[in-house]
Amino acid sequence: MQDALSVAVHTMHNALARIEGAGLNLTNLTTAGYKRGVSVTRSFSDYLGVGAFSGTPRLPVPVMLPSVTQVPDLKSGGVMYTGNPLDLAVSGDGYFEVSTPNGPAYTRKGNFRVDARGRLVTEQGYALASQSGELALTTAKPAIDQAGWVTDGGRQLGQIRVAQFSGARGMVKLDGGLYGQGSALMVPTDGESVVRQGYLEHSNVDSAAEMVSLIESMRHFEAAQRIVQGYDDLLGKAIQKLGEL
Amino acid sequence: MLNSLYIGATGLHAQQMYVDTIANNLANVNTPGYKKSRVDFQDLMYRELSKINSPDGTQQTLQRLGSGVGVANAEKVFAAGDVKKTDAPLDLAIQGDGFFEVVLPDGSQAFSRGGSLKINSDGMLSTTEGYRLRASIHVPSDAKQMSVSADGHVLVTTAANKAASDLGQIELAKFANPGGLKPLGDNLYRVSDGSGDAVYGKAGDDGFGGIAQGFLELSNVNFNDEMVNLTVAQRAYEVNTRLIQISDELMSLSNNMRRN
Repeated sequence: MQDALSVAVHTMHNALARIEGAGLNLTNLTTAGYKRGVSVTRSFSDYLGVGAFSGTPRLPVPVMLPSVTQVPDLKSGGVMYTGNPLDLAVSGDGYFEVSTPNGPAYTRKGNFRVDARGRLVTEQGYALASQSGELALTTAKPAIDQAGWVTDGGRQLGQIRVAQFSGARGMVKLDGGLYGQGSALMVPTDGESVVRQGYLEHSNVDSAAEMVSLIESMRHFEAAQRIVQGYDDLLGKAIQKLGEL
Repeated sequence: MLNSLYIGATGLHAQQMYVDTIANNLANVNTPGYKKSRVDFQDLMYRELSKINSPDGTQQTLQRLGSGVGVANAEKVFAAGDVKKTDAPLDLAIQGDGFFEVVLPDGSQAFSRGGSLKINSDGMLSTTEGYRLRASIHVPSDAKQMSVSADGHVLVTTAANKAASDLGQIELAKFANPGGLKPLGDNLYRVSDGSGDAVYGKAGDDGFGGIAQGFLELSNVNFNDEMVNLTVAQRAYEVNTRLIQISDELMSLSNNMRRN
């Protein structure tokens, strides 16, 4: 009896989750290195498959759980020239490795800076990992070649570590443009992961596509709202008629 | 409840700050020695929205959603500005890295990229605001001609003494991360935890710029870049207001679910 209502509510939850996802992408339109999340709906059988509701005889509709998830779209954003010697971009599928207190994290966000100790760090202060120990710069204008070798004041300091993954979609999104390895497998870098100094990778969000998705989801929400209204009318009428008998 | 509303609000805050920074850069496009600011954004915390139990007993995270955008940092960019020839003897520009150290009235130190200096009421070489250089260069009142060499020696001839006398040498300071310096206004900067300590050296030495007398370093703001950024910031702001509008409409739809 209540199924139409609960399906409508479920639809609304999903529409809200999609709107939230599109909203997140839109707010990060100007965030360097940001990768948009794509809203993907999980099918009911998907839910059954993981055994979350096994044993329940009816078709399980988890009303309070939106079945929309965000999958990162890892395609490259535009790479733009900034001329800042501490802006780095990786072409290809590579990621910079940075050291955080919770172990290594990976990022495509290349707006590094130099901290008081002369290390190249992200804006959260996590140091960029190198193949050999710590990079200690003495100026804020190092020269970095395409293979990631850092030269500062005529001395070669070390090579920036670039990581590459197979199954990169399994990476876990952390805040600040960082990713944890998650279920992705690290593979040797191919020749395409080239470091480019003075360039910054922009967000890969397309505002037109996100606006369309936003409007579409809003109308979807509205349609579900109408179902609730219609069903409510129907119930009202049924009760009235039953009362006349 | 409606996260998209709050996500939109974080976007408005961030873009507002972006526009503010661009406005400040544009306003100082003709300020000698001004260094442009740059804002970097980052996506905010990700929450684990829902978990389910897998058959093997472990918990599997179904969804992680972020909470919007924030300003990661707003730093000065110390790229060199163009240098303009002025021929004024007290206009000093540093061609390359380095800062002049000046002493503030309270005795604390600050750093400046130079500009139009003057001789203050005590006869000391000082910034336009009257803060003296740490090198303590006292220019005699009968000085006729003053010259500053590329390595920072200040030479003065007076009416009585035609031979130039050396009043002292202006030292330069540099930092591991000049972007971390704290701007005080008046083109002055203070050391902070982010900048590292000052390293002193002679002008023209390895890693330090030379001093050019009669030149003025112009603002390093690039008008075209800022206008492009402004366009992006304005449109990004707009898209966030749309997001808030849509969130508002959604709440209205929810509230009017029951027809009267």
